[in-house]
Amino acid sequence: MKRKILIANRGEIAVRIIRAAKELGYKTCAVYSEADKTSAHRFLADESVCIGPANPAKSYLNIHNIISAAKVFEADAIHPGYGFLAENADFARLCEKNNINFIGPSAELIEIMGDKNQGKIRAKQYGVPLIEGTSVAKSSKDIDKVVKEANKIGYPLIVKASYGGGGKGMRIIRSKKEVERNLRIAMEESSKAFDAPDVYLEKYIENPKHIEVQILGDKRNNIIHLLDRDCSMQRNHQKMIEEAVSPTLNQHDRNRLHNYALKIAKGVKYYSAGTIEFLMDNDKNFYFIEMNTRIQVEHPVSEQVTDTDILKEQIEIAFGKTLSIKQKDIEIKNHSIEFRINAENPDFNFAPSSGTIEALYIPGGKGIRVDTHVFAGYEIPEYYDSMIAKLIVSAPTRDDVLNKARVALSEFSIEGIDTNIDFYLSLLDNKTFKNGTYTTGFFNTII
Amino acid sequence: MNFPLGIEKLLQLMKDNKIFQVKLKHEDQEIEIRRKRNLNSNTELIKNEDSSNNVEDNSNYIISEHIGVYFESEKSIDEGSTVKKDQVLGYVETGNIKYPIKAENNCVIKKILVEHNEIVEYGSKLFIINGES
Repeated sequence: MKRKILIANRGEIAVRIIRAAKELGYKTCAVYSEADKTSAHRFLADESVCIGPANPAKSYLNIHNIISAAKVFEADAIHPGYGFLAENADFARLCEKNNINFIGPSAELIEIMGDKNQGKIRAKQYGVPLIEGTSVAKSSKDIDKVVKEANKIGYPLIVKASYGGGGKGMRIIRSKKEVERNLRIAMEESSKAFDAPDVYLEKYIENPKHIEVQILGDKRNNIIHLLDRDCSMQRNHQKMIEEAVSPTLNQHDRNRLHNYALKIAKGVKYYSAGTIEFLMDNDKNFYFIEMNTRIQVEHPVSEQVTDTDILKEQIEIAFGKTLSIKQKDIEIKNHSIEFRINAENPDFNFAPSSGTIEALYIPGGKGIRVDTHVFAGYEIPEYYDSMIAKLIVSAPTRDDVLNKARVALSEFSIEGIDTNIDFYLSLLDNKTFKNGTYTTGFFNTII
Repeated sequence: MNFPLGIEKLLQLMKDNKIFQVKLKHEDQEIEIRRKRNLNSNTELIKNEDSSNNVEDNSNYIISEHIGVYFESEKSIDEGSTVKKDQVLGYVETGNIKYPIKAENNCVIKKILVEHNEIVEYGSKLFIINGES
């Protein structure tokens, strides 16, 4: 009998997982909220089940209902996608307890590498450089100690939530007199957002490059990297454009970066797909920031550059198969850039746009890939992320990619809602973007 | 396979008796038949919702908040019967846990929309009810 995978997610990643699972011969079961009744992932899966109302806390984050759906529909495995339950160790453990294969690393690996401080302790242990930081403030009792440590490191500093992600809970502190007040605010925000007040401070590196390394490991301890991605194009710490490989690294620095990533992945005996994120300063020093123990939004650029299928590998790894790729097979075969197409209005501070997609034309041709869950007539629910598609452009050189991207973005037509497509078109004329030297501070310089 | 009872007749009997799974042994042959539960016939679901919207406007529904298999209560409920507040009308079972489906108020069961042993999801309409006048 065909084995069945339940996809505990929505949007484009649910569609991506369903396709990969079907190609591998698995049956698929989608879950959806009442707001996603007409979403594509529901119809593309072999089966589908409503798990709750629009509010994600009561549907896509509702562990009880998702496990119930997996039991009732006799799913052998659950793929959590990204976001929602993807890095929830308790969920991974509950799957295991219910004899459901969690498509991701073990609960223990999520706990070790998902917690930023634990991850840093490991990275340090394996000789990977870190940004200098303070201890964690877990309650107001710890504030004095953390402030003392902060003053010793010097400013500017950034305050981060231990359990945060995607830029949430981050604040920059530029002087001694701001530190205590900001620490208290950050703790309050973290309590609300992540159910724990734990925050810490670290040296703030001005205008770094955000570069990450894609990792794949199987349960037999075969661990490889799939090169690097430059994700420095960010707005409010949220990635907008990602490219592989990073356009400013020479081979020596690239090897150095990949070796750091492999030291961590091999050190913790990582399995499944994962990403190790680094900051790079002006002097090409790398600093480990964190590991994401899941598939990432930007995985397609690595697939395009290395001619691999990370999702399929991730699924087969979970079912105990050996990696089908060897490190020696990984080479730069292309350049690839991903544009996150969001339903938002760049003229109004990127305010989310909702409504119905009245007409849709998706670009195509050699080197053009569009991962999306939307179609003409699709009504964008207001409850979720504003990303409605990913345009992934690939070609032999970066210049070819930029030329191709201009054609593809010009062809891409989404009527009825506002999108950031025209913003990207104007970005293609920007010198700093064109020469690839943009840093995480770039966005603030153009707005 | 040559079973004494034709497969088509067997399927009809299963449907008529709301049976979803049957295992038969005949001499050295064995057959298992599972009727597909219609939860995922998406078009049908949407159609049902559309048509139910056109039914009585003032009708209320008892709706499932759980995902699982529906079981009738020991004391079976008939269409037209009056039930009391908190009376158990059936159960939704997930794993080994049975969640009782209770009447929120005194009411009349106008229509039973769910079959015994049928899979229900969050938001599945189980009964159409009328508040007691």
